[in-house]
Amino acid sequence: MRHNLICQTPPTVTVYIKSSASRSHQQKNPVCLKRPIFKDSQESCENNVHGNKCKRPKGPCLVIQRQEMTAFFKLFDDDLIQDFLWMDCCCKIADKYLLAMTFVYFKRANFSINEHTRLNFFVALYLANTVEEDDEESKYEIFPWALGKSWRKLFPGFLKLRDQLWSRIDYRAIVSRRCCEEVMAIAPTHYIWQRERSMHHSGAVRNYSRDEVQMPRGPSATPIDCSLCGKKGRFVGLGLSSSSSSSSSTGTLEMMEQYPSQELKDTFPVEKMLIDPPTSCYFQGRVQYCNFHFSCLTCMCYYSRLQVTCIADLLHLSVFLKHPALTGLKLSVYCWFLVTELSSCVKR
Amino acid sequence: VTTFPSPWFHTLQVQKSRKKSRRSNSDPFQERKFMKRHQWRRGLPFGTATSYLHLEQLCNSSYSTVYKGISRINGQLVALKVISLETEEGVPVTAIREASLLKHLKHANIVVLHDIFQTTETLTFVFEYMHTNLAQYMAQHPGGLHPHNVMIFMFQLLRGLAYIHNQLILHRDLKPPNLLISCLGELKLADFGLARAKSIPSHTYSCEVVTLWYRPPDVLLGATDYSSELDIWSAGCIFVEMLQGQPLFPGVSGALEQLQKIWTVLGVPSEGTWPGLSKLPNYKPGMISLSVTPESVPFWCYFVFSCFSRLDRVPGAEDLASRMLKTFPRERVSAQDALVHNFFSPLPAQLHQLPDAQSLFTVPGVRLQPEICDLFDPHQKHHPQASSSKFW
Repeated sequence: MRHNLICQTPPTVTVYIKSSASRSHQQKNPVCLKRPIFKDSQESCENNVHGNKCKRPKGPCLVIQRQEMTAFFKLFDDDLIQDFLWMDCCCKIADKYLLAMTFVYFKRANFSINEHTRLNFFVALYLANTVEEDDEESKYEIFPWALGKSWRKLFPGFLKLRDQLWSRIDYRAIVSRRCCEEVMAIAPTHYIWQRERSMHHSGAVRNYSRDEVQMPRGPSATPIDCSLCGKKGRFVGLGLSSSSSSSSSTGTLEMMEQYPSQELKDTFPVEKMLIDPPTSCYFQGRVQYCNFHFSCLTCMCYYSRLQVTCIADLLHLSVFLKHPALTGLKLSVYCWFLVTELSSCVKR
Repeated sequence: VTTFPSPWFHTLQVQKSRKKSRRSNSDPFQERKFMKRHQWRRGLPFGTATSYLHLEQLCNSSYSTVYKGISRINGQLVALKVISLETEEGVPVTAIREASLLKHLKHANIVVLHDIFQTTETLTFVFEYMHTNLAQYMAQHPGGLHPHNVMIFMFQLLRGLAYIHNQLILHRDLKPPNLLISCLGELKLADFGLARAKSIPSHTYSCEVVTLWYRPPDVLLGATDYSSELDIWSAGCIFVEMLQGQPLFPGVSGALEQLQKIWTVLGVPSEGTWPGLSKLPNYKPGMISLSVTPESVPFWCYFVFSCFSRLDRVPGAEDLASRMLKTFPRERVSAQDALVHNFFSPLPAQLHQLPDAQSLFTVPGVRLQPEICDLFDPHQKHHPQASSSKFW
């Protein structure tokens, strides 16, 4: 079972092959994982891990479909969201659990593919932070990213959206750790699931001195250095994972479209997941604009790890090189580096 | 339909309160009549304001007002917690957490959240109605509660705690006003505004949790890596308070005084009795100094607990209290283990096998005993008005 090797699941999860009726079409039907994930209102995940769990209806279930996971991962193709994740180098407002919660909220809210927007992403992430973090100030950093420069005027509306989302998910904003881990297990190698927060960021210390009130810095400023993480944090925060693309390429070759039949929906009340590694990976076949506020060094690392496979990307690079933020010596260093890097890639 | 306990039952002696007060809204008999007069409409939907009738206001806090109410869907009494949404912050964090958590929790010792509805200016939580809370109950029966009743309350408190801790949820604000009591004596954990899931260690946890008197010493010293032991400490304080009739550590000025009060009773900890003590964020070498040497702690500890007049007269009480009130968090007993402590041995064994949703009082023979002051002076009851302060 190659699928199982690709998508490792936690030990308590039962891995199902599709029912015998469709066995003959197994080539076309990928493995279907029935997971006891979102039985939210009735039982916690932990309580349902026994015997024939998939046969017994227990609470509501969510079916995660291929397009939904893909659409969710597509959010991370957005430059602004990438920059945002980059800025959050210590994973204080967008670690892997909060991102998994964001996905679960999208599911619970039944967001259509059209609703997989940048704004909805930030709203859901803000809700996850509200529920899961005692630190009050860090999450305000989301405002300037989601709302732009006039965030001070707009944030009450943003909070209304958060409240609407909360209502739309039937006020069930708690996502168990188990749930998060099951979501991550669908495509465990994706780079957003590598966003691990360090233990030294676990304390929430309220800031009482007025002078040191930390205002959101937003997209126009560099992230402040983290004394606890040191420089290491920045590289970790980028979260580039070469394995992400490789696993998906092998995975998707195996996967075919499968839509759960009505019959399946009725018989299996618990979680159904289609193994679906992201078809659109973070940087595969696409060169991102460099983010001007990145340090020179990290920028070089970023590009040196890129696998440039498409000539069209040269256009992106040319836009990048013309950007006014790159001036003087810095620019020449970049140019030199990028051109050599690019040419070597293209030759390959 | 409400069932009433034996007629001499203290706090909720409905017949007596009826003689004293004719306030229609707080009188269960009046309510019954009211219910009979009205034809309850089963077709009414949940989630809308028109399905509930507001009665009297029960209490008022900074962000919410609690009303007594009646559900027009089934005629049940409810408590309506109305949260104002007029501020630009939207729904308060505490409300989001409370409702989200209670949506997951179904247990006989956790308050039931029946419904939620929203209007443009308000968000309303519909809770089951509970007649009183432990703070009021203790105020009405000063000098300590009947040991049998303490046992029943404590068992329910620990049962509720064991349930939420099993779900990796911490209450973080256990105190007598947050423990609601029904007319039968059912105790339920309420006010989950500070509660949180504690499952992902790297997420941020604040040390500014729990009301000062019930805050454990590690959290007073700034620890943020606490876990379920935090609630056990608070439960231990409540346990002693129920027996003694007095708060155990009534600090006034702040964390430092609170710590001093704890050290006075439990002895001064050292790195030997509490590994990692000196690494806590708010620890300062000079701050832990009393005239007690660490070596004398066990005896001192025993001595102080013996001084609690009623603790040593109730079999097992002192031992249970000392297991719950360990200064070193990891030594504190878990809620699950505390439930099988021999303090609870007089209770029927089948209580341990009850399903989550089943109340203790469904087991034959489980009922509250009359409190001492009720026996001596059965006519000088509490004022029924007293029940109109916080209880929902």
